[in-house]
This record gives sequence, structure tokens and C-alpha cells, in this order.
Amino acid sequence: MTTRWRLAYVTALAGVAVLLLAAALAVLAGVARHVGSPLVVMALERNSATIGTALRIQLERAVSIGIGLDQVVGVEPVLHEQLTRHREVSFFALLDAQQRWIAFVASPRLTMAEQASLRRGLLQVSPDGLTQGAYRVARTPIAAGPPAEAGSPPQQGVLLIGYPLNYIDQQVDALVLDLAVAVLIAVLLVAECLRFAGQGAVWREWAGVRAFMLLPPGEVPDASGPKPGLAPDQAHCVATTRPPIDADRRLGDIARLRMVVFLVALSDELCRPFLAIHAYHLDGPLLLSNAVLAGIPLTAFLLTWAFSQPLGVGLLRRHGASACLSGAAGLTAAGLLATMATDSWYALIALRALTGFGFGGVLIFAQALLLRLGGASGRAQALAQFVAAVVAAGMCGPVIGGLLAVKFGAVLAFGVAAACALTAMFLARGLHLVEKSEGALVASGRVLSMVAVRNTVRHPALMALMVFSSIPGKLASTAVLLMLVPLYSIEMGHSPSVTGRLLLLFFMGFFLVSGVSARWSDRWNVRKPFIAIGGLVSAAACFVACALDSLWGLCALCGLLGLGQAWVASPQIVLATQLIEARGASADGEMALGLYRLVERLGGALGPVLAAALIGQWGLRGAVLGLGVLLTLGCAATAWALRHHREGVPAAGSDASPARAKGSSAVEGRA
Amino acid sequence: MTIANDAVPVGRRVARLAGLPLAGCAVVLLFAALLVSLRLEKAVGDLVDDRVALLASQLTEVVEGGLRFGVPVADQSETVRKMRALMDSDAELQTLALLDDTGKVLLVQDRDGMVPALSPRRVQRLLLQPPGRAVERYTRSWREHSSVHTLMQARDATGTTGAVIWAVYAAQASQAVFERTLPPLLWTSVALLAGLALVVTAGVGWVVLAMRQRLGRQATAPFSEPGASS
Repeated sequence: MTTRWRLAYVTALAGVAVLLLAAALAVLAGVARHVGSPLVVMALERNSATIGTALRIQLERAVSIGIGLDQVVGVEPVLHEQLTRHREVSFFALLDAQQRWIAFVASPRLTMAEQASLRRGLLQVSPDGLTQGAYRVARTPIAAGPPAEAGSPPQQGVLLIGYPLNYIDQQVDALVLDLAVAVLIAVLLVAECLRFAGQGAVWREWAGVRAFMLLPPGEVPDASGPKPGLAPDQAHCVATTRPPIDADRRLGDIARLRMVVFLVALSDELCRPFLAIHAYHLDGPLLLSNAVLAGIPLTAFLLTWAFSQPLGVGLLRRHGASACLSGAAGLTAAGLLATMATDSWYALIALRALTGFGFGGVLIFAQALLLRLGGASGRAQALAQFVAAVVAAGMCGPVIGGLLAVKFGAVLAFGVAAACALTAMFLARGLHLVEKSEGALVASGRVLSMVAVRNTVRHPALMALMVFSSIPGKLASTAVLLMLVPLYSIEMGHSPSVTGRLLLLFFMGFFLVSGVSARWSDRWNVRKPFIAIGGLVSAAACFVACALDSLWGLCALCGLLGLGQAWVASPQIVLATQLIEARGASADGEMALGLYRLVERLGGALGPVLAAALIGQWGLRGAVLGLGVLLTLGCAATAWALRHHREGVPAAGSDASPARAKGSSAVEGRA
Repeated sequence: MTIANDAVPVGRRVARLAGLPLAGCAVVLLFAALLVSLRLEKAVGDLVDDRVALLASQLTEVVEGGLRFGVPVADQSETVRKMRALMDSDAELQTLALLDDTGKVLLVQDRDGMVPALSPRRVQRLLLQPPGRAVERYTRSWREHSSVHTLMQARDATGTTGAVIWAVYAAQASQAVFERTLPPLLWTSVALLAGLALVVTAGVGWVVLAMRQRLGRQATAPFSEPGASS
């Protein structure tokens, strides 16, 4: 069998497997509909009865004081109001005792033809109600006035309330989205676990199958196997810069670091969907509004996260990778475990601050270590591992955390988050390669270097990069994700679950592109074009959202902003470290990284504040437009400020400029 | 590149290869079953929330009617009758209470004599909420244990909050949906996974056998054969 036929056969097999999975999901949805539909219809029936009773009491009150049912004023507005409040109801109809129409109010979802058909059919309503086409009709008699001979008051009319029998099918869009989210989460979780745990047999077997499929007829297979445990992009990022003897251990360390980052980021993301609600249910000052009660613990977390960035690098040098990472993950776990037990709002602030410091510590330690492990020409790809882990956690965490909080409560969700952080702590203790290699720095490390601060502040290109590119990007991201999209979506009448899925588009866009941009950035050894493209795509996201001004506009805003920021993310941080290292011997790339992250995070913290100010001034659409203008100006200013910074296009594995070579070798030396 | 190690038995190799896609499918089906069950629970839960809000609003209308005529909450006689009527109308309404503008409970109707505790802070927060849109009452709902709690403001003619209505409703109906839908969905998932396992294992088995045949032929072929390379 030729290679082409083998590939075609395996592709067909994979296609059949995917189709089978899709069919399995469809079967699952069908079973859910079959099992759930009677329960939902029962609930609808009870709601209709309650609504009918409430309306009956009002109508009977009017009739009991002598007003005829057909003379009651304001029936239709009341029915319209009820229809707006109770979206499950499709129509209300009021008939008098002679079966004449008094009022008929239907949901706008019903077409005129459907309404006409219903009106004809409703006249044959039996006393127990009926099924009229796709609707079930509940019948509520209106009886008031002096008692008749039999003892009960005469019937004055009848109120009919219709609800759809296929109400459960109207949730089908949400159900399909649920299934899509399930697939996405499963793929991400399995992929992340495989990257770490699949260093053994499974990954090798699949690599072998892939090689077999691509093997030309008659060719003898190579005896040297693929490097275990890591995806090809991970392998590539170090293969060109390191001796092969160290490569396996380094790859293992990158995989372990990625898992540590994923778990710690997951521990934070698990809490995201319910933390704000949890915060304002605790015992805080009554003078503060719910939004402020929810916001202060979040701000405490963000601030300690920001301030942990410059301190992190110094701590890493003084105490070593394993101790720092496991300590920071332990702090995160301790904060989350203590949060399980507290019901004081003040304690929550302190614990969020503690967790923020631990969380920020893990992130900055991991970034600094990945920069060392990535070497000179693989930095962007090494950082892409970090970004991908954080984004994967951002996509899985909120959904799983929401599920846990809904079904088992916030306490258990905090417990699961703490378990993730604890697992990360134990994994971090095994980072031996990095630990050994940094011996010289461990002894002389300082927690915060003023020289590094001075160097950073006095570096015009670095400052320009921070002020014109990093801060606007982070600011726009937080403003859009935390304020504009949620508010815009609610203003358009969509539910918070729609908002959650819109936000997922940002992370999906980011996840899809960040690895590609990092790989290309390293391959061509250029960063500025990526930063420019990312800035322009981010700005375009805002302009497209303004132009469309609809749900599709918000989709474009989230998706394109995610794509834009993904182009920028890794190249930007690599350029920042390269700029500072190019200063010479006194330069300190890792410390600059910490300061850079500090400024960036503070910029991010400004996002919601700026968004609130822009919304107050120009409304939601104006705020989005304002952010677009800010990003465009930032992009232009970055290009102008970095116009003298030269970037080469060297062959893979070598650096073009002497300055960069020097900076790179400094990092190489540390690692 | 290593293609296959013949020392590994075929069965183990097929299991390793099929394990990866099947693990993915298992996670997908598990999450799908959970999410779909929760979706159904939410659909019924929203309807229950709607019902309890409707019941609370009926009492609120009565209280607001009195407040608008200047009758203090404590002196409203119609309120007690309405509370009884509402309790009689729905067997799942567990507690209905009327609180004054300081958060003190004035009237309570309950089904089994077990009035749940209500945090005074929740009431005070609700009382502090400024008047919103005229047509919408400020309401807060939450779930505690197996009940839905709803607090609703009742305002006087000036828009000042004069009382708070507190309704507690049994939420077993929505919880039962999850409990009744999840087991069949999980069993269906297991059955579907078994079917997928058969297909995937068959496909992977074919690939492994093809690899072994190919390698067997290659082992007996001379290295000088045209096309052979490293």
C-alpha cells in the first residue's frame, strides 16, 4: 500500500471516529431531551397554573365589584407585562362566558399565521385544557359574582395560558454550545495531561504511527526515536540551542514547568466564576456597594500579583527554582485552603492578597526559568509554552469551576483549586536541572536590584515598548474582558452565559495563534513586525465591533482581540529582555522582566477604571472606539520609537546583532 | 524515527494507541453528560425561580397597596390573609415572611414550623438598594441547601422601601432533574464509549498489523535495496 493510500485510509478512519463521536453526542442530546422533557413540561404546567391564579384573582376582584369582564380596563397591558416577565409563556387569551374574544396577547416569537391558527383552535378548549399544535394550553376559569343556585358563582369567562411543548428544544442552541464547550475542554485537558504525563509509551507509539504513515515505500526506518514526552514545538525550541545530552532533561523541565503553570493558573481560573459573588455575600461593611465588595478582594489579588513580579526574580536567584516555585505554589494553595474556612470579608482580602503573591510568584518564576531554558533563539517558543498553559487553564477553569460551585458549592470549588496548587507544589520540587545550573546566581542574588530599576527606567526603547505597546494592550484586554463585553452584552439583552462564551472566543483566538507567532518570531528572529501586526489587529477588533454594533460585533471584538494579543504576547516579552540585555554588562534581563511585568500588570489594573471613564463620557460604543484609537496610536508610537532598533534574519539557531548575541549569551550563561 | 518496537506485544500496542483517543472521547462524553444534566436542571430551576418570584410579587402588591394608602405594614390586615392564601395555593412554598424597614420579621407563615435563618445583612443590603426602574422591584434570589430564597422590596408611594418580602421555596424539583437525568446520560455515555472503543480499536489494530507486516518485510530485505536509506 502506498503512503498516499495509507494516509487516506487513516484519515478516513479518523473521520469515522470523529463522526461517531459527533453521533454519540447527538444521541446523548436525544436521551437528555427524552428524559428531561416531561420534567420541564411539568414545571411549565405549574408555572402556568401560578400565573393563571395570580391573574384570575385580579380579574375576579374587578368582576366581584360589578365590572363586566369585557369592561375591565387595561387587561392587554397587564397580559403584555406578564408575557415579558414570563418568557416561557407563548400567549395569553381571555374569553368571556360566550366564548367571545376579550384579549389575545402572543409572544413576538409567534408568527401572524401561527397566531391566527391558535385563535381558531382555542375556541374548542376543553375544561381540562388541550394541546393546540405545538402548545399546551392551561385553562383558568374566571368565576365571580353572586352565587348561582348550585352554590358556586357563575363562570364569567376563561383565561387561557399557552406554553410550548418543545420548550426544551428552544434551549438547543445553549445545549449545542454546551457540547462544543465539553469537546473543547476535553481536548485541552487531555492535551495538557499528555504533554506532561505522555512522556512514556503512548506518545512514542503515536509518533511511531505518524512516522510509519509518512514513510515512503521501501524506506528503512530510523532507529533514533522521537524525544519522549513533548510536542514537536517544545522539542524544536531547545533543539537548536542546546547540546543533545542536556536536551532530554531540559525538555522534561519545560514540560514540568508548563504543568506547574497550568495547574496554578487553573487553581485561579477555577475560582473566577463565583469569587465575586462569594465576596459580596461575606460580612463586609454595609456602606460599600456589592460591586465594591466584590471588587476589593479582586484588586488586592491583582496588586500583590503585580508587586510580586519584580521581587520574584530576586527571590528566584537567592533561593533557587525548585524552592521558589514550590513555595509560591504552596502559598497559593495555603491561601485557597484558608479561603475555604473563612466567612469574613476582611480575611478574604488578606487571603486574596496572599494568593495573588503566590500566583504572581509562580508566573514570574516560570517565565524567568523558561527564558533561561529557551536559550537565545528559542525564547519566544519557550514563553509560548507558558502562555499556552495559562490560556488553556483560562479556557477550562471557569467552566469546571462554575460546575463545581453550582453543584457542590464554593467551598468545595476552593478545595479543588487548592488541590491543583498543591499538586503544582509537589511537581515543582522535581525541577533539578534548573536548580543545579543556577548555582552562581543563587549565592549573590538580591531581591530587588535598583540598578535594574534604573536601567529599565532610563532605557528609552524599553520604556516606549512598555508605554506604547504593553500597557495599551493589557489595558484594552482587561477593559474589554472585564467591563465592556459583559456590559455591552447585557445591554443587548443577552444572558451572562452568552457573555462567558464571548469571552471564551478571546482565549480561543489567543490559544490558536500564540504558538504560531512565537515559532515564526523565533525562526525569523524578528519581533517588531509581530508587535505591529498584533497592535493593528487589536485596534481593528475595536473598530469592527463599533461598525457591526451587534452580537457579531462582540464576537469579532473578543476573537480578533485574542488573535491580536496572541501575535504580540511572546515577541513583546522577548524584545523587552533583548532590549535590556543589549545595554551591556550591567543589564539584567530577568530583573527587567519583573519590572516590565509589574508595569504591564499595573496598566492592566487601569483597564476597568479607564473603561468606566470612557463609558461615562461616550457610552459603550464610544468606549470601544476610544480603545481602538488608543491601540492604533500606541502601535504607531511603538513603530516610531523602535525605528532604530535593528533586527536581523539569521539562520536558525544564531543571533544577528552583536548586542543580541551578547545579551543572549548572558542568559545562556545563567542557564 | 522509531516506527515500532517488535518486543511490545500487539495487544499492548493497540491498547496504548487506542487509549489516547478513547481517553479524549471519555472526557468529552463525561463533560457532555454533566453539562447537559446541568442545562436541564437550570431550565427547570429558572422556572422555579420565576414561580417563587411571582408568588412573592403577589404579596408585595398587597403590601405596597397598603403602604400607598399610608397604612403601616404592622397594621395591614389583608397581608395575613394573602399570606395564608399563597401558602395554601402552593404546597412547595415553605416560608413566607414580611419584614419591616429595619429588617425585623413582622409576620411569618411557614409550613412545618422550621423557619430558616436569614442573615440580617442580606436584608439590610436589600433595604439600602436605591429605587431602580419603577416597573421592576429590586429582588434578590439565592439557593441555600435545598431551597430557593427570594427577597423582594415593597415600596411606598414615595419610592422608599417600606418592607421586605421573604419567600422560601422547596427546590427539590430542579435538583431532582439533575439526579434523574445524570444516571441515564452516564449509562448512555458508557454504552457509546464502548461502541467507539470497538471502532477505534479495530482501526488502530489494522494500523499496527500493517506496521508489523511492513517491518517484517523490511527485516528480510537486503540493505542494498534501492530506496533504502537512514
